[in-house]
Amino acid sequence: MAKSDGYSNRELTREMIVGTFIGSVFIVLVVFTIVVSGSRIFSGGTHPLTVRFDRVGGLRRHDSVLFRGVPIGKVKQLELNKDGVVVHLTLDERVQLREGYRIQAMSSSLLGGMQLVIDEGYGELVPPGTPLEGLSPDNVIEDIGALVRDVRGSLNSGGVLTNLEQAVADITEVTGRLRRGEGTLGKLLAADDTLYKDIEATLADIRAIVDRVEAGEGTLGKLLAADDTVYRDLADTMANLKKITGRLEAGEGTLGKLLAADDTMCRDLTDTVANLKTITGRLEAGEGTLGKLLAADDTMYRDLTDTVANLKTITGRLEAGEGTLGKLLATDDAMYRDLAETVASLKTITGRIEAGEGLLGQLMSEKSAISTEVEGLLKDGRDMIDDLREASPISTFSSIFFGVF
Amino acid sequence: MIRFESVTKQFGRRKVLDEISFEIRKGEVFVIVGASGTGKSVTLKHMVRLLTPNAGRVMIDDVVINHAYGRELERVRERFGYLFQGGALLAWMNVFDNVALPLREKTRMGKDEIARKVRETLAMVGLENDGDKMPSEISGGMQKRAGLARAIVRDPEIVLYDEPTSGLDPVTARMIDQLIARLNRQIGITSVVVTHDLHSALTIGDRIAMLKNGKVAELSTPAEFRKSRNPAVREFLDAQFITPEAQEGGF
Amino acid sequence: MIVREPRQFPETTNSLQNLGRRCLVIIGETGRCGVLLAQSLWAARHLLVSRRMRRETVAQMYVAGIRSIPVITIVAVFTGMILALQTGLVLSRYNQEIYVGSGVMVTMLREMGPFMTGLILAACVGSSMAAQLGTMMVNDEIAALEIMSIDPVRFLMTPRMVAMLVMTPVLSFYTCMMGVLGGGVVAMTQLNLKWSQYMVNAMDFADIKDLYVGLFKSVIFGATIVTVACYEGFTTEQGAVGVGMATRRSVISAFLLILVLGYFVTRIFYN
Repeated sequence: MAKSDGYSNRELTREMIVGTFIGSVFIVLVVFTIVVSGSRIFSGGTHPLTVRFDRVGGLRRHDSVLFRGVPIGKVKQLELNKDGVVVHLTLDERVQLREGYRIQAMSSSLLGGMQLVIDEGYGELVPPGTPLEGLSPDNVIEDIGALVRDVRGSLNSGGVLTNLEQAVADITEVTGRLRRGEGTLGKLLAADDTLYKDIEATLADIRAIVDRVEAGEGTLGKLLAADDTVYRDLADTMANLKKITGRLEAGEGTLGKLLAADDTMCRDLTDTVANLKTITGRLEAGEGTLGKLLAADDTMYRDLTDTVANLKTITGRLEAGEGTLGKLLATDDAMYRDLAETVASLKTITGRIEAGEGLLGQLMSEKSAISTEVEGLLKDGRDMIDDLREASPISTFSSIFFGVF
Repeated sequence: MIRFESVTKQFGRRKVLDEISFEIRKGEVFVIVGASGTGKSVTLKHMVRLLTPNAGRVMIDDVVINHAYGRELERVRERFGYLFQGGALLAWMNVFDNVALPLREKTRMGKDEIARKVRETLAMVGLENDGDKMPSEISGGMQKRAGLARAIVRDPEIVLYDEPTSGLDPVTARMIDQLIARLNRQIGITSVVVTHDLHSALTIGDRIAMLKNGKVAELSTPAEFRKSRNPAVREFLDAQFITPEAQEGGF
Repeated sequence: MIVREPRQFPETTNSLQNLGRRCLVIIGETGRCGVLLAQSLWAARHLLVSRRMRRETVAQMYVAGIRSIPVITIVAVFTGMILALQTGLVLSRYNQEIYVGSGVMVTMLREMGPFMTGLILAACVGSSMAAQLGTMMVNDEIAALEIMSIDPVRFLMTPRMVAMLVMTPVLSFYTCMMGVLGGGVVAMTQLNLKWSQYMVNAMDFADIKDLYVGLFKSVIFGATIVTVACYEGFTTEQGAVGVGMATRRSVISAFLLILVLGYFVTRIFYN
């Protein structure tokens, strides 16, 4: 009875339990609050970044920040102020921005959802503490419009017309020189010693290959050893080739004339032979598909048989003057002129393309406005598609899912 | 001391009290009898403003308590002790704490003083050894005595007993009667007893009021009550085998 | 506030009158509940001076909080597991199971934590509170308190109210954590995620606002449960049958109010 006014043991135990429970939950709550509210006392190692934008195109808190396509952080906060939007980011990695950096909000899927893409730039390091400016989000339709305007502008400014005029002048000159031309073949035989040596080396290589074929090595060797129809086919092919080259030598047909007329052909041929030498050398070394063919594998037996048979037929038909190439080899002067002009034009054009002139040239070369645009467009497109593929399901799903709340 | 003036109480369309008037004098044992549902408990509850009359006045020492509220009501209620039918002990406290409750809550008495007073009161009702028992561990009679102890622990002027002997065995019932009588005689507590136990009423009552159909059918001393020619009273007496010739105070 | 006299309305003769009467009853009950709530909160000032009341409050915390922990733990863990499994199944179609953590965390913090806690407490604590007070009412214990000039609202309701107001947010947060842990178990075992992946994602999406709105919501639920339970308890009539009815009504009303108030709190904070 005396105890009844004071604390009973049971009461004391209860109070202890209640206190312990509330206390422990409260501690967890405090820790949770601190962790979630972003005071990174416990995790450490995040890098804040603040960027000012004119527009952000629907960027939201928690949207991903991509750097070289890798998600490295989140949008932490967006603030509207009087001259734009200040976006606070938390990044897991330190990002070194350089001159020409681009920070841009982009849609992460066709269905919506945004992400922030950081392009580090390529110039000098941006000193720390510099206020960062972000680009307004792209509007693809607008960009295409701009591109079309650029193209039309360059057409109207006369560049293309000038190019065409130039091209016509060049072609006239080249065809003139072709008509006055010296013999290619003579020069080929007389003028250059290196060509001879190259051919010799090539022949040596071919001989080595033939030796190995004779010894029955590789697919080709087996082929020849087992079956002599292929041999005969090859022999016929060779004979046909010989006839063709004979006629070429005599200056017959378009190709023959071509060889006889132009000096430049000589250099081309020299280079070609040199290339041939390299190729045969590599064949000898077992490199490339053909090299492998000669060296190890005999699964290609039937393929090769067929191929050689076809080759025979083709050369036969060439000899008979059938087909385009056959006609080419036969006598037709008009064709020669056409071809000559075409080659010349081609040369001029490729030359000028290489020199970076004209629209196409500009397109091929770097650093011109249009090419940068096109490149950018391509890149953006590629980025967008990549990002779409990467992020669209979740951002769409999560926006639908959490949009409910 | 307690005066009812034309008190009417309606529950819905049913008139439980129909303009009843009576007065309870200081120091007497006033017994209200009647069949079940005749408004005995309702009458009692009006005295402490657990119920409010629809018409008429309930007065305690010339103070109308019909609309007493707050401190005023508290002062009125301080003068009363109330023993409910089941004792109405708080189930989660032991007997000691139940009795100590009004002292702890409403007085500034110290811990030791409270303990002494509670033990004294428990001894008065014969529960001096049962203070640390829980209400569920003791019998109905003990619960009523514990309830009585709680009702009187603050030395009230008036104690209201609602069916103090119902549901008890006759021996315990007589013990309660004796207790009521002793409290009345020794301490001078004015007592109002509601009961349908006529033996009890005739034994302890100074005056007996009989309620029937919301009216006071008879108001007299036990001796007169026994001899009453009132048919309602007669019927009631006969039902409990009490004859006019029986001896008074025969216990 | 303690009602001993049934409210009487004139007999109705048609269903329209009946409807009107029901509306009046509901409006009246709402008002009385509001008064009861205000009284119990106002009476909480006595906690500063009454050691006995503080001890009673702690006892109620034990009853309401600690005794509910087993049920709450089971419900919370399985809620988290179900959430993780369902969102995981959908997300795995897009190979995005990694986002399961965020789904579980956000759902638990915003809705399921307070909601589950509220429903469990309404069912476990609210019903027993209504039954206890109803029994006390029927046994005249409340009347006895009144005769002793002990305010039943202060003496009985305030400790329960304060205990509940303290325990509901605590339990709600506990529920959230248990749910997230339960979800993590599913993420590890069924969705082949690493524990760290799951937790990092979950914590990434945990928001302070979600957390505290959830806790606020649970406080509202706690107050609702106690108010409804005490109101039903204090208005119990007709003995044991009345106690049963009061208990039933308190659970139903608390459930409905938790749903409705939950919506409105969400509406206010996530407009």
